[in-house]
Amino acid sequence: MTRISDNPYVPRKAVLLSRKELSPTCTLYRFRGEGRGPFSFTPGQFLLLTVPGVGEAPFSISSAPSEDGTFEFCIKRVGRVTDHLHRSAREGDVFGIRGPYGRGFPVEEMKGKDVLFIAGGIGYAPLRSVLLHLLKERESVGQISFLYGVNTPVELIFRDEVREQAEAGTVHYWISLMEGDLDDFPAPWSRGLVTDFIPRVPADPENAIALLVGPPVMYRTAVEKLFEKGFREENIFLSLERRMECGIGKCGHCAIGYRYTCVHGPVFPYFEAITLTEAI
Amino acid sequence: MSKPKVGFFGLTSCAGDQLMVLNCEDELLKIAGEFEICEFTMAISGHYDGNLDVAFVEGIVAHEKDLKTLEDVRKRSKILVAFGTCAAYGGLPSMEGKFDFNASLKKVYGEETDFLKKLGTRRASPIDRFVKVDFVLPGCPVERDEFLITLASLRKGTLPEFFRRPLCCECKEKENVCLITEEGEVCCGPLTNSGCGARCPSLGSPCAGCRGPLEEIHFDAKAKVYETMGMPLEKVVEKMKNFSAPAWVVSGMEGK
Amino acid sequence: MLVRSAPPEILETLFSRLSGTGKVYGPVRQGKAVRFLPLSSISDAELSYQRTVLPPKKFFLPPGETLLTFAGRGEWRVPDEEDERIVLFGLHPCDLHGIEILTVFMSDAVPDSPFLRRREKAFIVGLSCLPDDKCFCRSMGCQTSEKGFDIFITLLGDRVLLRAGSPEGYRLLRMLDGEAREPSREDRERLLNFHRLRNESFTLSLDITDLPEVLDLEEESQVWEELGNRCFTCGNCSIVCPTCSCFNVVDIPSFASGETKRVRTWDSCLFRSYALVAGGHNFREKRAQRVKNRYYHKQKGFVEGFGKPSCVGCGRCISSCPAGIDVVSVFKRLTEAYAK
Repeated sequence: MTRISDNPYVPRKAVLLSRKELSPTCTLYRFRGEGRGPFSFTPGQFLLLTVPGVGEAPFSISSAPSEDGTFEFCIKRVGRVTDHLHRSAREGDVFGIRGPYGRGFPVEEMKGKDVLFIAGGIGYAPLRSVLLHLLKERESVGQISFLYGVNTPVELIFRDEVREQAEAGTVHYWISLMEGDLDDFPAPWSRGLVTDFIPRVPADPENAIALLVGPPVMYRTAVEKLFEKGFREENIFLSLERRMECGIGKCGHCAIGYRYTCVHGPVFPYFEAITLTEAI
Repeated sequence: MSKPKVGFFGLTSCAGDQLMVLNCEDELLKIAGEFEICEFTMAISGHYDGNLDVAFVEGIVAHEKDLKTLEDVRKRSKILVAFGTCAAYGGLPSMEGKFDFNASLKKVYGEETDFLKKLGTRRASPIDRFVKVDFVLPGCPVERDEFLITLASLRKGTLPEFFRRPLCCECKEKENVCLITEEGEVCCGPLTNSGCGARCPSLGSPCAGCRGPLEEIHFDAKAKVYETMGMPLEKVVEKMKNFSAPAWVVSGMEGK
Repeated sequence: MLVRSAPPEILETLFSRLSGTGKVYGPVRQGKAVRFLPLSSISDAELSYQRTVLPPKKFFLPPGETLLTFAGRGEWRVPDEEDERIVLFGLHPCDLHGIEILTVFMSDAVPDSPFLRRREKAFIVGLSCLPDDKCFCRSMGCQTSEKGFDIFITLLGDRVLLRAGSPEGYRLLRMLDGEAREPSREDRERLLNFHRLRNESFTLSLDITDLPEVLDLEEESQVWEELGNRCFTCGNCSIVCPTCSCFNVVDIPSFASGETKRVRTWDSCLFRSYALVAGGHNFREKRAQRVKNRYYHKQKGFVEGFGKPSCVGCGRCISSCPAGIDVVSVFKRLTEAYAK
């Protein structure tokens, strides 16, 4: 029988270093994990964050891996735990974290290739982790294109970063809005769906990787258009969202077929995702 | 942090939920110490017109005065809790949904019903028909533990999370033999909110559905469950309607 | 391993030995229900019981288990561990298989240490049984057990066979040498007769040989829609299932102490809230989808992940379904549709 050392349900401590409002519903929280050795993760992995006395919920890490034990979550106010965070979290408060868990994006595979990001709404958050990681060694990859779709301009989070990267020319952004306008923005934008841009993006499908995070409906259209463009199944990666209680493949909530999103995902290559019933 | 201001209100009801609050004898002093109890229909005389952090509202709307009170409380409260099955689902007073309203009035009060008209008597209804409800604490009466957990959460600045399963789950966790399969009883367990620890079935008495219907029941009029036991769904719904008739009427289960 | 034959009175000696090592639980009849409850003597146990309401998973994954307690700001602790060894007496082979399946699952990837610690502390005594009309363990290969017990008792009328399944069981059996002996030729004959009788007594069976493949073909079967209309998704089948281990986690604050307990509660994939994510999207909104998912997980998903189905044929889901849904006839309908 497996010997059991650590209890996986016990969180380690994390101190809130700062918070920054990104939009009326989204806030960026910066934490420092404490104790138990170095804190390393792969972009696309997630942590379970405990608000003591209130509850626990899973969040993708939205910062790049760093040496100093800090990490960021971009959290949208959608439920009990996130609502309490938005209203009550103060610098210096102690929270609990478990993880990092799950399979992240294949950052090593991206070396020397063009990288195409496709984000719908809050889907920008986990992709930002990959992006910032790649930007640390910009020359390690080819062209970086980022298709970013939101409903209204106010939902365009990390606007300053996006602007900066677009102006520097390190990342080619295409931004889609369902309504409203973007005045004086250094990147092409238009009304419509984020997937509308796919045919126009200059990428060599033979030597490119596409990373997708957004609602299920976006995946279907995006994958279809990527195929039309010549992308192969094994070069498309997407992150699946499911309800999670444990993060370690035990509570059952995130199971798709025999796969557990928390253990085998949340990032799946498309050729795996397509084999899972109900996946997308 | 200043103490949260709370109020307990009784519309038309038996006041059983307010009584449950007063029955929390071991905690009453602590409650009074940590919350500012501004209004309490059953326990405090006098009026308070100010704003409230939380209002617990018991009972149904049965006449114009109930409605006025409810609308006033809603305006003054940040969080409004439907307190008990009457407020949440209509409870026993709304059973009359099954009968002709005017005929019922005549049967109870005789031919002279003018005074009722002056009161603005109306068909008994749960409070969410009139105002936004932020949280539901079902029960007839409300479970003491759930009430105290709610207070503990409110003190932390949040609302509690109750995991609502069908009552059957708690019944099975108590290792009861199923009253439906083994005794052929009409038991509301499969349709009813958990939270009472399956009190009645554990004592051998089938669930009467006093904690109200599960969320999903509203969506599904097709489950033919009891037919195999020679017990048509209508009979079960009939029984469920004792405590939550309005919900069943809305879901289209009336007459099915 | 070691097998011994003895008169039934040896069970009393065995019991007193066991009760010296920890609290002993066994099948106790209370009205129509049989439950695993503490035994004060062997006579409390109903040795001819059919099935308990809850399987023994309740000892390893207790309903409403406190995982953590949060005290003040940023302080939390795990509950004190129960040091006491427990003895589970009189578990049928299906339940032994159920525990084995859960143990494999809970040990996978990141081990569930609260579960596994309790499992390691338990001494398990298996007990032979004869099937009723709801048992289909033989179809699932669970009518007999090769592991997952320390001692296994087979009742053979005026003899009992005691079989060791672990070093601890072996040691204990050796201590009973004064009252037991090598099985005689007659004992062997009785055992073979018992096996024959047991195998002939099954009235319910299901051929699962090609079931995962059939399920691949029957994703769109009308059967799921019909089941969705019949099933109340009350969760009874999950709660009583020896291998259903899904749980929900809720933080429950105490008004009196100010502390908050993180509690895991038994959950079911049949519930509407199960696959509902923040923001309101439900990955299995329809009742039919959820019912289908449960059947697929047991007979296909678990097979793909762990090499065998997570059903042991104990019949509890059949006996506890208020809608009279029976898993065997559901799968039979599918395989018949496939055969046509």
